[in-house]
Amino acid sequence: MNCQHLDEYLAPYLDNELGKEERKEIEDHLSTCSFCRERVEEEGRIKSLLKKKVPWAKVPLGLRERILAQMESASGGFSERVFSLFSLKSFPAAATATLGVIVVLGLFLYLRTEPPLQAAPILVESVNDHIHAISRVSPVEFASSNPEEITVWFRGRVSIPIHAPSLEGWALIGGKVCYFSDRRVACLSYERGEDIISLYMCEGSGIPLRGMRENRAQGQTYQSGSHMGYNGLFWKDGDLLCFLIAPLEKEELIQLASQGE
Amino acid sequence: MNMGFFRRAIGKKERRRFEVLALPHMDSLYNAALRMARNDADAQDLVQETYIKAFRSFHTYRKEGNCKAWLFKILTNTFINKYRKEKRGPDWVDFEKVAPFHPSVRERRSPEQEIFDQLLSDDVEDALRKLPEEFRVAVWLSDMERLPYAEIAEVLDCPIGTVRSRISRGRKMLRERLYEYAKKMGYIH
Repeated sequence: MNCQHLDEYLAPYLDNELGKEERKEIEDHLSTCSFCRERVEEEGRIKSLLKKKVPWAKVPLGLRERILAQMESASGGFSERVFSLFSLKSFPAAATATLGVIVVLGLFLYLRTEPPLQAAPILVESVNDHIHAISRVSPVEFASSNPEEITVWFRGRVSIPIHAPSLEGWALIGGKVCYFSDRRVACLSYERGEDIISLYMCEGSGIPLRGMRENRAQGQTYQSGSHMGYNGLFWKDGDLLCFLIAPLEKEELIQLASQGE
Repeated sequence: MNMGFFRRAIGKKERRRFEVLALPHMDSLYNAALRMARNDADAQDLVQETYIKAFRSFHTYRKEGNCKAWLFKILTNTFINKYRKEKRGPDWVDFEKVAPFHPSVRERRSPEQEIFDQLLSDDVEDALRKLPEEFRVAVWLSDMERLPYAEIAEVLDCPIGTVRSRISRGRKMLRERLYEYAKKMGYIH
């Protein structure tokens, strides 16, 4: 071991990644070479530099919530265990048929007592986002009651043009960008006295709306659902998916939505 | 009957296990993602995608202990797939082949301790960001996360020798860059 060789071993020596023999060889060399001792110190300085100087960021609250929400919507589904009990291949035909009926009946009863299908992820996410927004000092990123300003603000922040509709009885307070599962969503906030509603808009392809009720009004189809006490209304406006989350009854939501066309 | 119709359910017990083992590493993953991705929004997307992938494949993680390295592996792979079209793209080059490491004995120079103490966190972050990705990630996992080389090798899917070399060279590059920067800023008399 001489000075020339040390370079290769500096990092693993400091990181305690060398075997006993190699370690001893290096320590023997270091005991006689002050130059190399200094190099070890240098390596140590850089090693601790990151921890000392690089700021440790805290996970933003929105991110944590989105992660928890997506876990919630990923859980659920039917259990495989019901079927693993009955291996249909090993039974003779007649028994299989009878067993088949019993299994189906059993499954039918099992499913009847299972909790209802999980709410669509988009509903869960938007309700969580709404709840989070109303508990903050300001539910919006950009405060404005001017629809033109809002349209300009969203340009470049989301991929679709955003026009804030005027809703009777409600005042526009501003907008923000949300990140749901796999896409950016524009959100407009309106208030009426103490109440706040959130109108979300995003590019509508590939968003599952399972588990919701269909409603028709004035030639438009709306999907409605409910989660944690909030009602959500979903509808398509061309390529856009629009959804309204509010502590209001479904009928009032539909009424507002139709104004938004 | 169509057996495929019945998805594998993620039961309460497994979800609790995930909450206990995987969620506490969110800060670590987020901080690493911030230094991999170009901006905060991308970093958040990266962490989110990592967690959904981890959650869905958690049944494949059989150990009872620390799953930090496992999560970092998912994060790194997601990053490579999402932000680099090919794994062996222009930046993610095998530096060991392109520029083999020739140890050199440098001349003495001014004491570095005081110089480094004067550096601002922005200076260090900037120097870190300028490191080629594979060096940056290796140095981060070692010096910030204190992962052993064997785990870093798992995360980066490379031999331990490569981990050693990337950390060595990464630190060396950092030191050179910060020294030059300090000289320019007049921290060195």
